[in-house]
Amino acid sequence: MALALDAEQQAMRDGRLGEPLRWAIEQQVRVGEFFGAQRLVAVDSALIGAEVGIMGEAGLRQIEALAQAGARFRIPTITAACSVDFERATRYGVSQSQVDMEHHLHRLLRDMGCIDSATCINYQTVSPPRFRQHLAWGDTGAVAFANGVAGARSNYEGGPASIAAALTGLVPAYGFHLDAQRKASRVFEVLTPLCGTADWSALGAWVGTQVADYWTVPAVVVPQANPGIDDLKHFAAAAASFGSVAMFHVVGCTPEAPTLQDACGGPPPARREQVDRADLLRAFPLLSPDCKPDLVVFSAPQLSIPEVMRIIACLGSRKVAPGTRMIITTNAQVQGELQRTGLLSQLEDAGVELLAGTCFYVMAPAIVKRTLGAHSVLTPSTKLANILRGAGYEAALASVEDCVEAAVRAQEVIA
Amino acid sequence: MSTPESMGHSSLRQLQGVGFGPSVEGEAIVSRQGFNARYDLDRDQGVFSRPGHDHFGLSPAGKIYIFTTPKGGIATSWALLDLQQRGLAPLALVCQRANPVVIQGAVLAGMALLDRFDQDPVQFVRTGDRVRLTPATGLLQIL
Repeated sequence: MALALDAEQQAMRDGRLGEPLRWAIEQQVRVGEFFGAQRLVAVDSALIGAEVGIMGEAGLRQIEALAQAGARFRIPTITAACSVDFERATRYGVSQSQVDMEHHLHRLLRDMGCIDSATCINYQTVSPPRFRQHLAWGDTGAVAFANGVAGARSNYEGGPASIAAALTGLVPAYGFHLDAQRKASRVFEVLTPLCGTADWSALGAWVGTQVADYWTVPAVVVPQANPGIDDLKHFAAAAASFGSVAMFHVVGCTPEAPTLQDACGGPPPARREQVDRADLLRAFPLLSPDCKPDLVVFSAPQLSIPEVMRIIACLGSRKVAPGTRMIITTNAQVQGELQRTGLLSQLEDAGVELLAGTCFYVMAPAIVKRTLGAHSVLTPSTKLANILRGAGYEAALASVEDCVEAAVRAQEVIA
Repeated sequence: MSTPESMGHSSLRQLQGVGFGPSVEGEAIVSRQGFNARYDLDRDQGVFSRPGHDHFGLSPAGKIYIFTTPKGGIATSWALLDLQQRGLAPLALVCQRANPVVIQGAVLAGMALLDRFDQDPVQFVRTGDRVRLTPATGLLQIL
């Protein structure tokens, strides 16, 4: 069934409003029709995935063409994490030419009206979502957070689709823009207490692996659950990463799930899938007991100020031990606040390395691995552990506290 | 559901799905795993690079790539265009249920894609089979 366009949208499609809008809306109509959308819906912001590391020269040429044709974003548009920390990337072996290409790309995006925040935690910093607000966000963890935790409405808008949405201010109305799609059809009952972001990340990995479908919405029942925003952020990122999950409910904690019945939009399914501690341990790989991690990395998603503060508290007056490197990634906003309050130099004095505007796994992982001579990594993020396994690391999960202990004592904490 | 082994591989010659893009014909490369261009591919070389991948070290270039489900992030939508322009992309994508990122990437690259089948294509097509996709009618045929 054809997607209905209003007069302005039809003018965009006909090219009467310029080539960038024609390029943008044509893609949106095709995607929308594939998914049975009947109309386009206005969105309030876009989070665009544009990094040379993944888009390659083909993508960069596309952005150049749009910029040269006078493309301008119609709605507040934020850049997702990019593939380099502009100040520090070359220290990790990333070539100057990649840094220059990334600079070029970001200049083009700024010319098009972008808020160039280079962040995957825009929801904690530059653009928090609102309940029932329609969005066109690209970073999948941010989409799962916006839908699940804020009750906003977004599909995964990949790089070109998020740019199209930023240009038109519209997206096709299918998937999580529609009430009916947001109801849970699978229920996970957690039988083990959850403590800290690593546990929530492991739960996200387990639920994501079990669901493994963009269109299926899980509801999670956790007795006495009182997760913090950072816990839910890690759950969302992991569920998205492992299972392409874009919408979820935590009963009693997220806005569309005051009760399980509400989460499911009616009587819940008879079967509840039980999750115990052994399942969480199965959700991520373990380092062998005699392996000492070369790297301890806090990343994926970028860290919030409270997460960094937690690490600082765990470190106390201790320093990262020789032979181990401890790396934190965050965005420029958090970095600025750490700088302003003197915490950045405190971290650096303790031997901690900070990267801003990128995420550890998007910054040329193979090159960085070679430069650091690293084989094993310990992290509280299952998303990071999973992706780094793909890049050839031995990767394991530990709590934030145990990760810090591993870094300062330079001995394994994994039994 | 019957497996190819139990029902005879040749007994099922076509599957009905929903499609997008041009009609194509080519050799199938079938993976029993999910797919994400960032997690699974060495994009410089265009080969599967994730340890444990069932086609580790092989390239899907020019083939009809059949996989279970898209995984994770947004990387795949830019990556398909980039791979295609460097001659490293699959000819077409087939999976049981695509997510928006894969469709957005296929639309940008003008690449054929089929999903939402009446039967799981991973169960019925084998690597090396010659297959024809007719997205306009949603048909996947084993030749």
